[in-house]
Amino acid sequence: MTNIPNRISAESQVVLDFSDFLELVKNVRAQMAQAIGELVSMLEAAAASDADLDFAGLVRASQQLLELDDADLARILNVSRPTVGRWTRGVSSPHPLARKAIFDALARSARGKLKLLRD
Amino acid sequence: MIPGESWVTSAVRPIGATVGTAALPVNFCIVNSDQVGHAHTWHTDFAAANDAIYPRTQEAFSALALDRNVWCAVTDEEVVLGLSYACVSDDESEVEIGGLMVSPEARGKGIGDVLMRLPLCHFLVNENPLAWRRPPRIVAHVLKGNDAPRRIIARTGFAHAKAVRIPGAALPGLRTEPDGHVHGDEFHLRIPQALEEQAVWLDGWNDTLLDGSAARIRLLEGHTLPGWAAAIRAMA
Repeated sequence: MTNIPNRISAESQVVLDFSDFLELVKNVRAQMAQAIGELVSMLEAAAASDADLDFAGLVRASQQLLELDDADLARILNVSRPTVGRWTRGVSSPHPLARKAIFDALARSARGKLKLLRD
Repeated sequence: MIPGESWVTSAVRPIGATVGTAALPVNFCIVNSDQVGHAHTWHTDFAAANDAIYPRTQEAFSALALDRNVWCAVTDEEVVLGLSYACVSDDESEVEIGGLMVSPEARGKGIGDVLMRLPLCHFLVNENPLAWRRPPRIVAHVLKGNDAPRRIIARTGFAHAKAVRIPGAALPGLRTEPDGHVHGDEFHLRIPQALEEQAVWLDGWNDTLLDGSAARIRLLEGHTLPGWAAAIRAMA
């Protein structure tokens, strides 16, 4: 346990000091919250736009930031697990007229995760 | 159509529970993970009563269903009335809409038509296969002697493509012909005619089966059948 910082208290007892580590955790959570906040903005923009976009990239980013595997995503988006695989590999994508609901569902998941990070 | 999952409960009823022919509400949805065992028992019992239906092993069925490829028609009490699936081949050259089974006592309501069209339309909308680099064939298979699904397959927009013969040893338990093979037929979706036909069906859906039973289709929140119809028309 040599990597755990400690300091000697006034009473000469060893007290483990996690303050630096807690600061790191706080920063990581803040960065995570910022990234997910940006993801929400991108999903909202995608849902509101008819412009062509990198569907596979946006799904992969959502999947990684929200820590969802293909099965999780399939359940949330009411599709099959192989469908999610074909989306993220760029083999297929939903018809443009069917994408808004998918971006909306991803944005809902992202807002849920954001709330957990900020609570 | 309802957006939530409130009627998809984890309640498991004995699969053999009889279903009255009264106008019970019927729910159509993708089989979820806690329904897989229940659905496989029903699938096995159904296939056992018909030697022209290909029964899948528990392992094969579970893999198909856990991947959320299998659709079901169930009552509010989770009694299974029918199953079907949409499955893409490993090489992504073919999509099969298959495994259509409807309880004998639940026939005549149009459940089979919904179970053929829903996985097909759901696949079309969510994967836009005509835009793939190599668009897959969309196929259905029926074994000789299994006549119940043939009219449904034709109504859905599939046309006979070819006869198929599979060595009997590959499909144990099925009726073989004197040549030692199981005979059947392969049907291909007529593109683009069948697309317009799906759109017309989707636009005409009125949450009711032929006998007046209420029918609910579970879709992703924000998806609607008229919305699917517009997407499918745009593909044609």
